[in-house]
Order: sequence, then C-alpha cells, then structure tokens
Amino acid sequence: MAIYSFWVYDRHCNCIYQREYSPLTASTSTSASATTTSQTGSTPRLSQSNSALNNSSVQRFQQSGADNSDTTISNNTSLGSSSVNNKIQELLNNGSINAINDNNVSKLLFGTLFSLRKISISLTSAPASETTDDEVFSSHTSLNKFNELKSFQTLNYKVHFYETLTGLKFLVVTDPTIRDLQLELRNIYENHYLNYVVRNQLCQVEFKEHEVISNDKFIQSVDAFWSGLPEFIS
Amino acid sequence: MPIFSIYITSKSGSLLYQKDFKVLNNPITKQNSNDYLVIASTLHGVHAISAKLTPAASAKNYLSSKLPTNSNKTGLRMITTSQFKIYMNQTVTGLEIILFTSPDMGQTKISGIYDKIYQLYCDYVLKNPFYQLEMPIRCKLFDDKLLSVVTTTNV
Amino acid sequence: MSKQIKQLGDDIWKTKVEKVNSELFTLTYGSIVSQLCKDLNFNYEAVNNQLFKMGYNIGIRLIDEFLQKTQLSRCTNFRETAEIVSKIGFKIFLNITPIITNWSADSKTFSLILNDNPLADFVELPDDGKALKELWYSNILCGVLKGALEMVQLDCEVVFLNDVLRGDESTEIRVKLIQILKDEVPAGDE
Repeated sequence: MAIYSFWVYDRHCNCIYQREYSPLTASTSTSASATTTSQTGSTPRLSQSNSALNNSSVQRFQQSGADNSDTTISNNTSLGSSSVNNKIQELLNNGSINAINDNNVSKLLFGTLFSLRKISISLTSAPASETTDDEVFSSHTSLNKFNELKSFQTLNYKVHFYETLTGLKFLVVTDPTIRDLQLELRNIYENHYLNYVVRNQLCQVEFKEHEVISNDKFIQSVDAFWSGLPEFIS
Repeated sequence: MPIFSIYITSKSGSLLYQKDFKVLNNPITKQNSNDYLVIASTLHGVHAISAKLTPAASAKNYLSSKLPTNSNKTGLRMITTSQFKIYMNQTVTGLEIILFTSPDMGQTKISGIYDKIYQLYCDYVLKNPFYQLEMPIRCKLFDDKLLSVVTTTNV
Repeated sequence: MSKQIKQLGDDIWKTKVEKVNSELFTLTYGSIVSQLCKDLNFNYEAVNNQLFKMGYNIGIRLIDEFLQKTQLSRCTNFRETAEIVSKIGFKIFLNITPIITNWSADSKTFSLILNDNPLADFVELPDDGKALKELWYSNILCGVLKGALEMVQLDCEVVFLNDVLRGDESTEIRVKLIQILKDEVPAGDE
C-alpha cells in the first residue's frame, strides 16, 4: 500500500478535504489488533502521538487500518488482476473521508508543512526586515524563480506538496520510495477540483471553519484517480 | 552537486555551527544571524514532529531501507524544494547535521559526506579539550577541514 | 512582454474556450439585472451592490479556471497584472481587450477602458430619472475582478467611473491596489 492519505487545505489554513486510505498514526487503544501493538512497540515515538487521538471515529479507522496491513501481508505472494481490484476496493471502502480534519494529526501535518514552506521561501529571499511590500511583490514572484516546497520525507513516508496561486494546498502522503507526485496533485487541482468544486455552483469555494468538501463526485473521481495509479498498491 | 550550507544543532535544538559556502548560482541568500537560529530550531522541532505523523501501515518501512539509519529512523530526512534540498541526519547522541544542497544531490552521495563530517566533528571538536559540549563550535581546524571536504564535493 | 501576453490570450481564446451564443449571454445578464431592479424596488444602489456580490462570487471561482487555462505563475509587478487582466482575462472570458490607461504615479492604480461591452449590447437604461445617475449596469465586472484578484493575494478596490450607457464618452473601470495580502497563519490553538 503506497498511497496512504490525501489532504487539501484552503487559504485559511483549514483542512477542507481529507481522505485516508490507511491511517496516519497507529493506535494504542485496547481494540487495536496485535499488528498495531507490535508496531508501536518497535517505534517508541509513535506511541506518544496516540494520546492525541481520542475520538471514537478515529479508532474505528485505525481498526480497519490494522486489518489492511494484515491483508497486505497475506496477499503479497500472488496478486491476480481480480485480487488487485478487490484489494483496491477494500482499501477504498475501509478508508475514511473527512473524519479527522480537525484533530491533532491534521494540525501537525499542516504545521510541519507550513514551517518548511516558510523556510524554503525565506532562505531564498533577503531577510524580512529589509524588504518592503513592493519588493515582496517583485521578489515573491520573479516568475518561475519563486522557490516552492515540493516534498519532505522520512525513512517511513513521504509527503508531496503542491500549492496553487490561490493558496490551496494539496498534499499526498505516500511510501518514501515513490517518484514525485507533484504533477499528479496539480492534475487533481486542474481537473478534479475545478470540475467538481469550482464549476459546481452549488458547492462553495470559500470554506468556513469545519466546512469540508463533501461532494460525492469529487470524492469518487479523486479516489478513481489515485487508485488508478500503478503506485497505489506497491 | 554542490553543498550550499551546513548547520549543526545540538540535541536540544540550539545552533552550534552554521556556514554558507561560496558556490556559483547559490540560490540561498544571506540571512540575519537571528534567522539562522530560527531556521535551525524550526527544523529541529519539525524533525521530531514528523516522526509522529508516520502512517501506521508504513511504520516499519525504515527496516527495508539500505541507508544508514543511526538514530534517525523515524524523523525527517530530506526536504525537496525547487531550488535546493535539505538533508537531515541525527546521530545517536542527538546531534543533528543538516546539509543544504543542490536539488540533484543523491542519497548515497550524501551519506558518504555525512560520514566524513561526523568524523571531523569527532576529531576536531570533541577531541579538542577546550571545547565545551552544547556550546557553539569555534574551532579553526574544524573549519578548515570541513571546507576542504566541501570543496572536494563542490568541484 | 506585452506581445507575448496578447499572443497567449489569443491562443487560449481560439483553442481552449467554449463559446456561447452572444444574444443568449446578453439576454441572460439583462434579465438578471432587470429582475434585480424589480425585486429591490428600483433601489439602484442596492442593485449595484447585489451585482457586485454576484460578481465577487464568480471571481473567486473564475480565477481557478483562469489559472488552469493559462498555466501562468505569479506576476512580477502590478503593471504586468494589468496587462494580464486585459489581454488574457477579458480576452478569454469576454473576447475583448480593454485599454489600460491613466496609471497613477505610484503604479498602483490604473483604468480599463472598455470600447466594447458584450454585457451591454442592446441596453438602454430606463428613463425614470435616477437609473442614469445611479445604476452601474455592468457592475458585476467589478465584483469579478475584485474576487479574482483577491484570491491571488491582491487586495484591490474596483469601481466604475464612467459608462457609455449613462451618456459618458467611454466605459471606464478603475482598479486600485490597496495591499498585498499576507499568507494567513494558522489560528492559535484553543
């Protein structure tokens, strides 16, 4: 399973769409299976994060995530095309949609991204105190020279990032070995977001806090897009 | 595949050493000394936070990695931007060596450079009887040797 | 630079834009304005505001459409922004290229002169004594510009100065850059 989750943040820093194909953090809840427990045992840092997760819906998804990893192991030996389809279907069904937009994981992810983005911009421009607004307008932009954050990774996962000029931020969390998916994120903005959110007059484009994209067509087309990539199951 | 800058931070996130190297077309501009401190501590914090964001299904990926892990199994390793890359590595003692490189720098090459730098740190910083732990590094020999390692890479 | 921008606008207009019958377009807009006038008891001030709000809501969507079609990145200065608004924005959505003129000394304010306004074909303002003075028939355009520019961090004031429908010599929209919006930072944790 190489694509773990997909996130969209708007220009007001709120998470407006969150799709998990596999949970972002492991669980220590008693309902968790043995697999999860052993994972937390091997990486002590993980266990700390769990105190952050305490709502019941999250636990449900963590449960299903644990099931996923079981099937990954057992199915690995031979995957016929039908079993690949079944597995994709299973991942899509078991994942969560807009379940944890506001919890700490979402905020930590955004915070990490936000800090790194700031570093990548500030390091390539003159120190803040020496620039005026007008200069920012021109240096900000020097057309394509504007330094953008593309991705960050640990040995365990990789986060790909694409930001639009309108301040929307698209993120996908994947396996660290995967090629750059920035073009794919851009594709989602230009085709899926534009078609099913912007052009859909009944769906708002300015989100208030706690509002999310809940439009079925968007969800389905994005799911179809990610699951259609060869990287979806590795 | 030049190296643009190096930062070394202590286990508590304070900046021990920072140097920008003279490289042609270096996209990184000079910052206030205060900004360097901010960047170093931000990276240090983000390094720790990123470990907590590990997806459950991927929590053991590092086992299959061929790279030396030291103690940086779960923390931030590499940041890619359009103009530079940031490589981070942490020793078991918590010392973090952060390298800013050009975007075409590869993982395997960087681990070689990282090893050399760590060795220089041991030789010329730790073995220097007048160096106090957790204090900014001001050792001329370390400066010189580091510069020669970087110059060989940057040629 | 200006030539390249014009070329890009023309290309997109030719290849990427779906066209709609112009009578249908003009009539649709006309019926919206006249219905608004009726619903708001010919309070033209309110009609202007309503048109502006509708335009704003179009603008914040249209900008994404615009970015996708043009694949442009950020402008370097406000003069470039003006060129792009006129030669690409107006071109691909209305097939007109307003003239950019009357720059202020600080390069933060400019005027767009619309020689041809597809919204206002066949229109005569009602002869009730106030429409000619109060109604900005095409005020939706100001809203669109305001919304679209705001989404790319340019906080602007956009107003009509003149309109041929009112008997003025030209149709003129004034665009003034108030500030460049800073990126929002996450709200403090509760």
